[in-house]
Amino acid sequence: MDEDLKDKLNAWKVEFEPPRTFGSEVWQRIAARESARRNSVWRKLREWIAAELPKPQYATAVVLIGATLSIGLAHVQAQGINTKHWRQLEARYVTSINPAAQAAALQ
Amino acid sequence: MRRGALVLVVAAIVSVGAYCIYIWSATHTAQAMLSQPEGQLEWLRREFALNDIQFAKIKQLHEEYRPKCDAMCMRIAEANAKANALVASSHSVTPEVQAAVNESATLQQDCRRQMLQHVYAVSAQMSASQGDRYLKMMTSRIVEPGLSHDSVVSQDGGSGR
Repeated sequence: MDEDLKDKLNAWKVEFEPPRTFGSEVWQRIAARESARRNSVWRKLREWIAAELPKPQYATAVVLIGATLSIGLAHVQAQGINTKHWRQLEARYVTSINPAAQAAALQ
Repeated sequence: MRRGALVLVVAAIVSVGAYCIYIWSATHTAQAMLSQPEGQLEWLRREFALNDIQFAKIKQLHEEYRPKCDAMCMRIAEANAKANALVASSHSVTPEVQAAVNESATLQQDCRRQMLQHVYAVSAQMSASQGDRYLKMMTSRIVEPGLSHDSVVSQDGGSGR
């Protein structure tokens, strides 16, 4: 390598001065992320499940809410099933007194 | 955390159990009626709120009508088969085709008349309002099958009784 270039490279110094607030900004960012992690919904929910849910009043409420919602869903579905069965029975009755419908079913 | 998770598991088990029990208890009556050979008569009893005396009379009418209905069914099936065979083997409306079509139509008319007689006899056993509703429902199905189902549907839409 050229000796002249070698000397110049050896003599080259990079002088970097970080901004005065560099350290505090980094720590602030780290603290903000920690705080966000602590405040996340899932973390809070897990904490609530661990600390509050075993209490009788909350446990009873969760069980009752679950049962109420499932009975509500079952009620809506049962209505649909019954309507379908009722119409099938109605069709069966009509066919039972209608010879033309029975003959059509035979063919 | 373990106790909290246990509460959630218990809540899930209770919810699924409540769902299954409710669905079964709310639908088993109609389901049982569907699986019975005479379920349609039980449907009639519940749909038109028949008391025991009305139901017994209607059941008797139904039993008396059934052999006539079966005989008419066979006659219609034979006449239709004969007309279909003649129509399929002809290339024009021959006197035989005309006679077969006429015979089929006459039988259908006769069958409709007897069916209407049965429907009137059944409705006469019901209370006035239920009889009217029964007549409307049956005539829409048999005499005017073009009527929409919703115009004559069960009183509460068949939500099960």
